[in-house]
Amino acid sequence: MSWTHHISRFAVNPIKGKISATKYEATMKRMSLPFQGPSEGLKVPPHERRTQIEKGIVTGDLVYINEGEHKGKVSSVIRYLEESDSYMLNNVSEKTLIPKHMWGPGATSHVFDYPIPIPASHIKLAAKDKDDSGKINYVVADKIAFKEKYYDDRYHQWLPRRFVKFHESIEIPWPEPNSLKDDQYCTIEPIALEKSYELQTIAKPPFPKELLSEFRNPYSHHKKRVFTEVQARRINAPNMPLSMEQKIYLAKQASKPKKVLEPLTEEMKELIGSKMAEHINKIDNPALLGHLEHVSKTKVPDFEKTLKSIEENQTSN
Amino acid sequence: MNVFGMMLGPSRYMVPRMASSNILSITASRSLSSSLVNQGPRSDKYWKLLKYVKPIDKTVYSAGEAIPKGVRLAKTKKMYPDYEYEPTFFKRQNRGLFGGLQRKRSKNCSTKGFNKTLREHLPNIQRAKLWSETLNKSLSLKVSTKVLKTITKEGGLDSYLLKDKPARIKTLGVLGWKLRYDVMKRQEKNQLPKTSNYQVQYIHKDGKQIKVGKYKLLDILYDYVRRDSYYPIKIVDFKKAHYHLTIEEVVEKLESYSYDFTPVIVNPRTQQGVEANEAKDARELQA
Repeated sequence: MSWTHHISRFAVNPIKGKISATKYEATMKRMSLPFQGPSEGLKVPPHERRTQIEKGIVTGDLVYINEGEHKGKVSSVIRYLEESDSYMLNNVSEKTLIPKHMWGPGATSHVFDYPIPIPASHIKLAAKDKDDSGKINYVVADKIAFKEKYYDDRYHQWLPRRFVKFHESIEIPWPEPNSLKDDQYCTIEPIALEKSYELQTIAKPPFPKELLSEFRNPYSHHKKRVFTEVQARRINAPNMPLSMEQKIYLAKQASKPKKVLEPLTEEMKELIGSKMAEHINKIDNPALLGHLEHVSKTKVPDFEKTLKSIEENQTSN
Repeated sequence: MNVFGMMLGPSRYMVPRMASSNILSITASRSLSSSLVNQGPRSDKYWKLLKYVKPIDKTVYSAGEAIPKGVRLAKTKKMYPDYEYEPTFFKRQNRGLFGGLQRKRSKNCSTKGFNKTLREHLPNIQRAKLWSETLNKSLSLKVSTKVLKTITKEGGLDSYLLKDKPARIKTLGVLGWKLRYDVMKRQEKNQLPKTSNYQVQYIHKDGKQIKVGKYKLLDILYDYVRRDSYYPIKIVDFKKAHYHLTIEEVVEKLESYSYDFTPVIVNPRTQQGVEANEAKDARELQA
């Protein structure tokens, strides 16, 4: 055990399963001070987290709380907390104490109505419907079914159509997204989206040729397939200088006259031939003679090389 | 010879003049013959694992050549020649003079159940300050005790590094190889002529003894190159184009501009004069 890690060993880690989730939540709530806000419960591991659209309930949607303290309430979603898989709803809040440095704009008191995060399992998607007679009906979807995608201009993205599962004639459209107010420094939307240049024909390139160098770097060293002078010099390692002994040896070799090969004289040829004949005449075994005959036919590349060099020497002289 | 040597001497070299029995004479002759047989081809004295050595790329690349696949471009210049026998394991041997000693392994064996566990044997490495005669400074190196013994036997670090035998080159290691290069380069420089006034940096093919270094010559060259071009040339661009050249190439470039080398080279007449003056001074000092 090291003293630096003893804290992590004894601390409660609910993900490891040493303590139940509800118990952990209760202890966290008990131990947190009032201004620290309500505990957000267990964290969802990152790979299990979903976006609002994947969940099917987005900010601005009507929802029905079917469980817990606030059961029966119908409210709209303010915010979705991905980490704890819970929603903050309008008018479902708790009075908490908040220190002054954490006050929002326009706050006058330490007491603040702060929305309670309500887990996604306690919530069901709801929708308003008006009759011809003007009577308002609420529809609560137990489950949601997604169908074919369409491009939503309000969200600027492709969204699936939302239906009540098993009652797929009832479509619940996505709510109006929160419209952002333009700042004084904002570029106006039509100007930002304006296309100053449009392709007219395929005969012409889509943009002027001079523009190409701004898109891509023609001098990028990744594109060069050949060594530059500097690159080649850098990659070549220097040579180890010759030692004194090596220098002396090389000088001696250089001072020696070059070896010149000359053809055999007639006398030498006769001598070699006579010696060979002497040995071969002694042999009685026909098998050995046959073997020698076979061996004599094989070509020795080195021998041919020497013959060639002799010929070259003769022609040069 | 010390006192103990004197005392021990006679007994050590004492040989029975006459064998007292036949058996003794036979054993003596046998031992002699066996020793003669063992004097055959000598096995290598060093032992180093070269199984994991990777072959080095010896090709000399030139500008305009296609870059082969798998060749990495270097960000900086290579300062030392490549070492052929660099092992890929037990890399601490690259940072000291280990003399080819590497980690060995064997097994620990328990006495009761003969259970075996792997263990390692490390070479005996010490940090030592070794004096280099040519570099004129002491180097703090990690050295194996075996190499320390060899260095004393060779008579110094430099002679240990400069030996040409293949066994020495294989066991030098990367650090030893680099030190060898440094020592050899310094020796080359020390051979160049030197007086109290100047040190010759480079001798050209035609015998010009140049007193200044490459960068001073480049400063001179910059003026010529700038004058030569129609457009102004920034010093940065000049550096990019010329700083990788060797001193020999710089001198050749200056020759192509027909530069008068007199302020930069050693004038043979003045050289004689300086030597004479120095000799005079020496004589006066002695007197």
